[in-house]
Amino acid sequence: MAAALGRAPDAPAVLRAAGRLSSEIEPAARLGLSLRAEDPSVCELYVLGGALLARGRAPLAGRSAEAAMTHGESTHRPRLAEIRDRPDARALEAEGFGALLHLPLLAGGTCLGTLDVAWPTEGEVDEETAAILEHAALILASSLVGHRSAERAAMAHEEARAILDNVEVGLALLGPEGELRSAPSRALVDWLGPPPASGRLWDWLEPHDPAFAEHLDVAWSALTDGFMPTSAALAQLPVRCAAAGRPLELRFRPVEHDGGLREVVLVATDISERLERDAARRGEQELAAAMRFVARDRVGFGAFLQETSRLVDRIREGVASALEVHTLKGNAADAGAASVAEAAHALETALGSGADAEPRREALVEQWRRYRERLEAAMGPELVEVGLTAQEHARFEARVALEAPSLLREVRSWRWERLETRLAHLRDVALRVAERLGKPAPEVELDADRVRLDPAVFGPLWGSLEHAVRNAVDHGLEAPEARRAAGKPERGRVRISARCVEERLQLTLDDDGGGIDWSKVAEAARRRGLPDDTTTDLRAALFAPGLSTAAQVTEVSGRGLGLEALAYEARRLDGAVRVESTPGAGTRLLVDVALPAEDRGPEAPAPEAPPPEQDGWAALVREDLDAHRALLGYEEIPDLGLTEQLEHRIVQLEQAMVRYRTLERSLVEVARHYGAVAERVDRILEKGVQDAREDARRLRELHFRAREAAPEAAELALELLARLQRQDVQGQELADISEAVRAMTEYLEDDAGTLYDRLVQLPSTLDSLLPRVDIDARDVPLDEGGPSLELF
Amino acid sequence: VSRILIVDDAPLIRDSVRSLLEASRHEVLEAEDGDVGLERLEGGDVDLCLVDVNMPRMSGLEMIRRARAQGFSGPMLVLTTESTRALRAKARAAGATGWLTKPADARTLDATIAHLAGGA
Repeated sequence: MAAALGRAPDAPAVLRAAGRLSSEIEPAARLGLSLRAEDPSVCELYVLGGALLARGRAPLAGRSAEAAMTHGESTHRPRLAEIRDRPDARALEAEGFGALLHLPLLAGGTCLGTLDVAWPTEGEVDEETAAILEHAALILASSLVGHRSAERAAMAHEEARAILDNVEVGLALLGPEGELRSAPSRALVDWLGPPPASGRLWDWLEPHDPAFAEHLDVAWSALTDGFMPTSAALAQLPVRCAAAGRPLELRFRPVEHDGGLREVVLVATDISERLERDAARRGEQELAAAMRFVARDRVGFGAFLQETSRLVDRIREGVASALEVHTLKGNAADAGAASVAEAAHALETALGSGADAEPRREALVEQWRRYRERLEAAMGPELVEVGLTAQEHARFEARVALEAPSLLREVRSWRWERLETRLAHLRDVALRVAERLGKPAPEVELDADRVRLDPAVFGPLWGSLEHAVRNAVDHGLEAPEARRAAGKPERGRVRISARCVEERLQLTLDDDGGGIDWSKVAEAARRRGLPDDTTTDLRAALFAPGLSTAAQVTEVSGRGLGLEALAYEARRLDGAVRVESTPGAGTRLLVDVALPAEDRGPEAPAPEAPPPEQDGWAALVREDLDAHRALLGYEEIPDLGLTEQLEHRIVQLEQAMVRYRTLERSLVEVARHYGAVAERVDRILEKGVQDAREDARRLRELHFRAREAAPEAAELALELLARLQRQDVQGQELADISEAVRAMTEYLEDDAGTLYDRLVQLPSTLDSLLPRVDIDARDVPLDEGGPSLELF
Repeated sequence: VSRILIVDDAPLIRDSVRSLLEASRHEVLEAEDGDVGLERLEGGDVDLCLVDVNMPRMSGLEMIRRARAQGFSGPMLVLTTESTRALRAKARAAGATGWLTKPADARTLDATIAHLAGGA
């Protein structure tokens, strides 16, 4: 049996039906079957004499009747040609088909059209044929529905496509192997360019974000492995990538079918704006955290800033260890500087994986810069610089000594001063002195190593150097006319240099003045009863107390204190002062002192240097006393009560040291308590907030219940009243009940009023208690569950 | 309920994984390095094992290799922050069942454990 059919919707089913139809009718009748749908282009079928012919038209068939014919093996080609152009009933009638059956094509209660069956007039439609025809109508109807919904779907698809292509969201359908299933939406193509030949998503992303692409490839393999549940594998796909300079967020939604992954819908969003918003919000949070930190522990915050800045410097220079990066991360996280902590984490990860860490390093430096900038903008540079008072520093050090002794040296170094700063100060002194003396401002040249020194150790030395500088400008540099006469420029020159050489600090102070007038020194020495025979004698005399060569004591120098004090300080630091002078050409003062072990820089594995011991101090003073004796050339200190006075002072000093040690210990205690208290306050605040919320909730609940209960009670009272009256109960009983209810009502209303007042006041009370805690009792949700507090 | 062994040198990670898993009523064993991990595998009737890749002394992959040699046949998941083709290949070769990217959220962890332990 030959059959030809245009590609009708669900063509095989129609074919089967028609085939069955024709085989069963043959040879009893010649049938003409014409399918008339509402849309005439859909399908027409003719069953003629047992052979099924079909005529399909676009868009249903997609090919011509002729094509359909050649596709099948029709024995009735001519007939088809004949009726093709006149498929209407009239034409059929003319062909000799008399009866027409109209079978409705029903689907879901809707008539989609009719199946018209032309029947030869002489024939009869038997029941069996009718049943077959009805069946055929049913199949055709369902085919039509299928076709229509496909058509509708295509239309919907077009519409959806138009929408999808015009939204700022990139969409694509991916197969289980990560291959693109359909044309991705326009946004994706705009961002990523045309899809790659391989069709794989990661290949598409590769040129934009290679690391991400690799990660995606790897993570995607977990989807196909089958080891991991789909949801877990999907959850682990990376989501943030960069394309054409914009951050994208990818989301993957599985389309599962029969328990297997059929497709994955990719939704890509440009998240630049969201990131900006997030960054702004996070900036605010970081600021709030910093402020809380400052409020709680200003010293600790200052320490955090200094320490982190130092670590960031080291990271910038590329000398920081992984441990330092880790420390920075922890500190930043503790301080609530999330952006910095994250950047540190990224750097740490990069360092750990051997990936190129440079971009991460830059990112961290940049994040820290921004963090500081935000802080400074909000708090002002003073707060950020956090000049710690000596007291605060001591307290902080005490805490560190207790909690992290290994950091002590580091923390101590924070208050050390840069050598340059000190030298700059000496230059200022020189310029000021010159100005006051009416001399032309000297040219002052500075030359300092980049070293920091503990002011507690070196402070006095700097002080005495100031005297030496004054001397140099006052006595060393000649008056302008004298300089002119000597053929020198009117402006004098002073050079101050400070260098760390091995374990010594070497300071030089040069001037191009007239040099030391030794005759005057000898004269002054003689005046003071000091030896003046040899050069050594004279040099020693320079450092004697009260020796001044100035003819006249000037305002700024000349009391003879300069070199004596300097020599004293130099000796205290296990050093010495030397003077070289060339008449007419200038003077050079050389100070050479020891650097304490812990000031020698981080390279020296310095043993933990103990703070000056009380014995040490006392010994120092005693030593000094002896030195004085030697220096002054006296066997005994002249009887000026000085010895006793000094001895007394030593005792005082010793006592002070004991007090200091005690105090220091107390400070450690205080610091420890301070930390513990801060923690407890935090907890109390936290609990307070919770309690307040709970109170508010209860109060509100009470209030509502009271409000509800009061009218109820009143109603109950009325009802009782009526009942009692009807039953003629004793008047007293009635009165009692009525009174009880009234009292209850009153009580409830009073209570409600009070509670409500308290409730309303609660936020302000809380606000006054906790200035930074934001609570609005009115926003506390009222539980629908039972009351947690009994009313009666 | 499964017995799950977590091998990670970071106590923080172990703690958080433990609390996540215990919330889902799993029994959790911990090991701070590969050696201890292998001991635990020998002694305990472990259903599933989570192993950090970067650990001092013995790497996570080495531990997986030895665990397989030792005869442990349950699922072993690699915990890692790094996701490269090279690592994937190495993890496979060592005998890892799959991997979890740190930090894994509770749902992912739960789903994975349920999937693997349920099937085991």
